Amino acid sequence: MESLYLLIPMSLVVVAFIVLILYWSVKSGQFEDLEGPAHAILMDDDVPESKSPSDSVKKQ
Amino acid sequence: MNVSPEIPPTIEDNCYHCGGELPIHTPYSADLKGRPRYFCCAGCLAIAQTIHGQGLDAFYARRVPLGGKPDDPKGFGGEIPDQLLAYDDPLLLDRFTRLVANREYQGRCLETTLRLEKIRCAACVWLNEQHLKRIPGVTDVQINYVTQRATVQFDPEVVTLSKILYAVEQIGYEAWPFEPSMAADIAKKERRQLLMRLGVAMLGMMQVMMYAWPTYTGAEDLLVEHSLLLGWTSWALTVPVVIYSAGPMFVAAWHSIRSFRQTGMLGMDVPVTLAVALAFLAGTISLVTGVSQSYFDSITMFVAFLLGARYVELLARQDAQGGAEALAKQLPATCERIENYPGDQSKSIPVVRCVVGDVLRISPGEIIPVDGELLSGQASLDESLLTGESRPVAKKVSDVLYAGSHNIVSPILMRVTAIGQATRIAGIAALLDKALQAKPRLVGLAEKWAGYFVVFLMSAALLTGIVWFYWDASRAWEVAVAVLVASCPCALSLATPAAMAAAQGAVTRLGLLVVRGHAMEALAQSTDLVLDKTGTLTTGRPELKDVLHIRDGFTKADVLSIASAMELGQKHPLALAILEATERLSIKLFNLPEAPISELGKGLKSGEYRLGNCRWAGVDAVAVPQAYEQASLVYLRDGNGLLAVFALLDQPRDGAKEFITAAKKKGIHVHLLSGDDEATVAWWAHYFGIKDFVGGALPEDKYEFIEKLQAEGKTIWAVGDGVNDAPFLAKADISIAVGGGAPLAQAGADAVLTSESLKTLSQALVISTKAKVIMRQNLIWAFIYNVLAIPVAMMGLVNPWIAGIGMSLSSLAVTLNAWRLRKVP
Repeated sequence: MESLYLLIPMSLVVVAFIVLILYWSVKSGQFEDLEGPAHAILMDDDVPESKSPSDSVKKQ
Repeated sequence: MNVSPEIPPTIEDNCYHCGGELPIHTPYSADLKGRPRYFCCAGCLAIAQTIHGQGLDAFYARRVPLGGKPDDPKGFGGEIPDQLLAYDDPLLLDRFTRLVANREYQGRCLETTLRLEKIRCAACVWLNEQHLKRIPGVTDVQINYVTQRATVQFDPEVVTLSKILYAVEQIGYEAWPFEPSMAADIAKKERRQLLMRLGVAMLGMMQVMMYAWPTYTGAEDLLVEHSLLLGWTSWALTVPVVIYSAGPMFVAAWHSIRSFRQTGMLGMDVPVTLAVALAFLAGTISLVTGVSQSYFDSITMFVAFLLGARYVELLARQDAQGGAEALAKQLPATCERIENYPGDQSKSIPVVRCVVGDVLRISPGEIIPVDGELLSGQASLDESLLTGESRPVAKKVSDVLYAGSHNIVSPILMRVTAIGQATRIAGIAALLDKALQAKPRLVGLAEKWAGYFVVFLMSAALLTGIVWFYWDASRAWEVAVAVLVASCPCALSLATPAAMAAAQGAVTRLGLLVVRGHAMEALAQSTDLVLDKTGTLTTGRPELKDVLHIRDGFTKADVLSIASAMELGQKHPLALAILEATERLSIKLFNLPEAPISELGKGLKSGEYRLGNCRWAGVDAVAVPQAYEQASLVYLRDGNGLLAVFALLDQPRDGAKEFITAAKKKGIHVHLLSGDDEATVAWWAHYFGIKDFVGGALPEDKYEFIEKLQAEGKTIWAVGDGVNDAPFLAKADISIAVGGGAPLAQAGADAVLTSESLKTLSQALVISTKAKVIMRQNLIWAFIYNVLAIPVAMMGLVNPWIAGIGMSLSSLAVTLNAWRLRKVP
């Protein structure tokens, strides 16, 4: 159980580190828009198959 | 008469760009990526060509199919319109841009915040972002999907603000720069601070729980030194949670105690902070003395849960739009000034540069930017947003024109008489701000109980302490604290917010955006419903109801074809209604012998044809069925006399009757309050079955009407849409603004109706009633839990893990119960 004396202070350091990361991410506005990035990742440069109903060639 | 009868459109296919119906044999087509595409209009064709030309054709695959149609683009490759060029004026540029703080571009680039309009889906955001990024000189574009605001950084030496705005208009959207107000900055800071506090509390909770695990499981090989180490580590993590995360609660509790004498009520924060503070104190004492348990895990969890609920609430609340921002949106930023009146040399200038005495030209379709008097001829203005009057108002020379009204028919000249804060619309905005301050806050259910709860809790803890002091003095302190912790104000304080959040989620999906937290709770409490007419109960857009007195030998299609040919290009609401009906029936336009001439305020003529009121047409007024008594009648004649009479009627909004019936069934008294003339209001009141109605009401009258009802102790629920409704919406206990209406009205409202149908409101009423029931159940549950837990704690039987489980279970029960509200009826 001696390991507790090392592990517990270490966990405190980890927590402090996470708080710093959180502070940075809040400050840099990463929580301002929680929806956009979810869409943005789907909209990179690859072109998906078209779903538009007007794609079928028009019949006159 | 060679007019085709009513043929239904035979083509199933739709416009490639907007998805709208294609006219038969559309002339607009283009080969895009090797496939022929067809379009409904030149605008759609141009947009699609631009999008493809820039290699952005993935838009068509990504967008939600058939979203609706952006406005026609303002032409391509053309000149930047003067209205936009005015934004490059140093005065306006300073207002809307700031220097970039970024090191790389410092001192060189400007940053501006744009509000994007007509954004419908993620693909629209993507398109705008890509389109703007490709403009040379633009260094960065960030678009927030939720707030629809774009932050654009650009190099002013390469590209101008007007060019950026024009680029957005080119693809059919609309952008206007706005000044991020002080309020917005404060809101952002508040949001980030609360998020940080929540994060710290969450981390603290997780860690402290981990350290508390050995005490939960009763690990037997744990030495005293070990528990001391775990205890002090927990303590070290609890300190920031109590001081930093829960800090604002302590402040609020202190305010609540200090103002107790005036209000006679204690806020929810008082029992909450009392429990936190006492538990922390007791935990620290027992750590030092080494006896009994500490409650650090309970404290951190409690704080984290509460902050979580508050964060959700804050986000909803901040969606509200500020009054100043809304006013800015209501009026144009630029205007056309005549430099050498009575000459006609004009220049586009920012409205802020106007001074009293300037002469301005207002084109048809534009909004009047300042108050003034009419100089030229006659004008027809739509003042419906300001006064509630549903029909265009005819103005003659030297009549007063109000900022915010819409010029419909012809270009006019006006002399400026009042600008900025002196205008009528600014006066209404000031009344709105006053009303917002004076708004009565409905006392929530939980707050009413909180006071009693505190008293009950304190006396229970005190009593326990005293009894134990005589029984076993060494445990008196510990047991008294256990009573406070175990009683857990957690379930009680979560009871209302959880139900609120769930109910808000449900109505948002129905199309009602709640911007002030208490709205859902208040709906069910309202006693009187005050409705506006134009734009709220009715759409405010006339629709062709019937064609009467058609001369023998002519069909409905024939006369519509003639009338539409004459009305083509007119902006008058009645003209639009006739054109729309003709388009709906796919009637081909009649070939007129001469181009139609428009006589302002009277009607149109083309050769022997005349279209307008009965005097203009030179025929006797006809008798109409009772159903059309309130209708606007348009007469059409040719050389041989009357051809037909078109009856146009304002449309009741979808679901209006059901909504009024639902409200009446709930025992809510319904009033109709409108700025329209008495007779029209009376007719509509009768139509909807409303007994109480007032016509010709000014914004001030409406405000006083609400004030009077409130003085009688009534709880008012108001629904409106116009600028003239803004003050009374703000004054009412609970108010809903109709989404399509004036931004200023939305600034005063608690909720914004984004759906077209009023049916949403009847559903919201049902949800609100249900929310009230669930809140009551939650409070009762919290009460029962306390009744069970407190005696056990009083007997000194509660240890940390029982307290922890009890707290989680009671909070979970409350949250799950509230979750039931998410189901839309």
